Amino acid sequence: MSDLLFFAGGECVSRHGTIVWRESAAQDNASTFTRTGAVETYVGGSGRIVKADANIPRVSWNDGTPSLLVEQAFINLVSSDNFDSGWSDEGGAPTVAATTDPAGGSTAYSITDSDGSAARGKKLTCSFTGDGTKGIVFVVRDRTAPSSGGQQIGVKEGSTWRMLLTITWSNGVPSVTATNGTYLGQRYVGNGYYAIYGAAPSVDASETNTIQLFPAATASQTGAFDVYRVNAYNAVVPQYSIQSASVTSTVETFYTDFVAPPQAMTVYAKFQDAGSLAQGATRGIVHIGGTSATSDARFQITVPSTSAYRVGYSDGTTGISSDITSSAAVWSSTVELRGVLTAAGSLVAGQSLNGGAETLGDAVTAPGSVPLPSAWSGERIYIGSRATVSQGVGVYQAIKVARGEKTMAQMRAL
Amino acid sequence: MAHLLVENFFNTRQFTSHTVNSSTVTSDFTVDRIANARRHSRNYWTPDGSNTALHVGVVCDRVRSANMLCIDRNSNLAGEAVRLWASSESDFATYDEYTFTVPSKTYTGNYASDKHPVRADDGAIVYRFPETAGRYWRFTVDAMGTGERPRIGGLWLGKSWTPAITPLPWDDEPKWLSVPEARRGMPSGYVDRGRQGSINIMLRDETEWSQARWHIHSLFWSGYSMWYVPELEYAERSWLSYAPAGSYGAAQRAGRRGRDLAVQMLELQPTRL
Repeated sequence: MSDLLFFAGGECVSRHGTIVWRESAAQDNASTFTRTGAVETYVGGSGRIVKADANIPRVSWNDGTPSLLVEQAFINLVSSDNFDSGWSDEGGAPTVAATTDPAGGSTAYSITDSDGSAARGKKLTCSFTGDGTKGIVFVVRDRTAPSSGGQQIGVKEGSTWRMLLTITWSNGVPSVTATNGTYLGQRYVGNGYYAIYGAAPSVDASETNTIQLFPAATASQTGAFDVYRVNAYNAVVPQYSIQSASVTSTVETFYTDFVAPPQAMTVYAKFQDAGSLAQGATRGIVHIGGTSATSDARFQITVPSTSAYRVGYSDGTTGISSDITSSAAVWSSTVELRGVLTAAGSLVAGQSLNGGAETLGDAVTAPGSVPLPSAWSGERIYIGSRATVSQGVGVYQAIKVARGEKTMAQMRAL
Repeated sequence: MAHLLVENFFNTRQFTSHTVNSSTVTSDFTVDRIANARRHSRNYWTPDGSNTALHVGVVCDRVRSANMLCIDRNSNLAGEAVRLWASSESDFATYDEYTFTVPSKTYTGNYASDKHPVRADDGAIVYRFPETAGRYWRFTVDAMGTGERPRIGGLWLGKSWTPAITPLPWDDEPKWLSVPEARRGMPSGYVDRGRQGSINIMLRDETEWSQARWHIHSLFWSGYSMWYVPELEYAERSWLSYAPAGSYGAAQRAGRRGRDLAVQMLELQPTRL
């Protein structure tokens, strides 16, 4: 018999057709998901951006791989999706026309610089709150790339580029380099469009900050690209989902029943860390237990800081943990974490990045082991949070719990 | 490699919390007929309206993914444009969409690639599409012409299962012939013909069994009919099967990691001679 006790996430959707695994009709019970208020977006299986009603979980296809999205609250600071009349000209007036979008409609804009003597683009003032790094997303499609110099998108503070990304295209696929700021990564969102993620550091919110787009970066060149959305956030990383202008998204919580009592077991999480690590400050990945994030008997995989993952366990009185310190995970990394709870009540933490060799966590904090309690404080497993709080930006491919002490390879195979 | 579809979101006995809906019907040809697996020519759903887009839909109890749609032979959709939508918005404000024209001819060696509908030998339609997830699903038939309205005899929508190991035997569709004996005083019977098949699989491990247990043990061996696509390269040979009476299981043999799974299939209500 299989030792698998729990399985959820995008890989579960591919294998079993539901977000949470069930083996028989009698087990086809529901998980619970909450997201009050705003409608959220995801990339559907047909390759277009679609939306989900409140309290319906999102399974997003990211470059062909389904994942469960669980995200914290965000506010998109970009005030207009109209790149014609809602954005002003920069360096002269480019030609702007409506074009097909990645959502099955025609709400995107083709921006063309046919001048050949000046870099003509569009810009929009963005009112950031607080100084620091700001997460930015551009959703663009190749149309007519300039023969040299590429196309540019970025964030300008006064006359200083805080982030400047140069895009070149090959068969419709963008290649991005950062002259200023950070290029985080990209993903395909449908109908030829790519979402390009970046971060603009050291932004002074008291200055005039503009987001700018140039279909031909070099004055003597001409070019065109299609733009669907630009998103900007006060967070150090952007929201993974693509938002419309001025949307305030609300926090998501995903949990389901987990009735297995404390025992020797292995918890495995495979995900793209799209911001939990970068934000640090305790973000939840997996939580087994009740509704309290910080008390009672529980097992957790969390992000305790901007450079570490943590496996922790508490019997309700005494807690122990093991950290993957100085994790090299970056925005585009596929992270696999393994937390082993032994029968003696001790821990082992393991991490693999992009399928590479596993590195183990540091020594378990004193007292080293804590006898297993008879029950968790609640019969729940949360994904993407510590109980009801501490959500990050999680793109979950698989969450598995197995009976016994398993290796990373064994967890992958289950 | 065989593809098996036994899940059907429209079947409210299989998914007891699902709700099926459709364009208005005031006749007896109600929407529940699309999932009762009765293949008689008089068993179908048809709406009141005509010459307009008309639909059947299902509200699932949770987000579910699907990758195959089958339209049974007792339908009148040949040559018509149809649309399959998946959405997580109840009003279908946004949706994933797959559209195709229902083929009216059967071809040999018709490869059932994603988004390519194939007409089977008996007139049923097999349509595979990229895996897509949604809480709300809708199947719409575009306007068919003046006075014309769709008739759908059976509709299967769900996630198919593909065993990872090549099934045996190689000859995938032996025929069976049942000839009732003529006896004095007994009514004469039809001579039925049909297909039978057996998929014998050595499952790789318990992970593969966890899939088989749902599709075969929980559904097919519980009496639900199953579409059998023996080979994608010859998808016109697909047929609707049921599990004949018997006792079934997937034994775990000593010394082997996986289980042995033998799936016996008989054609459900084959066309009569």
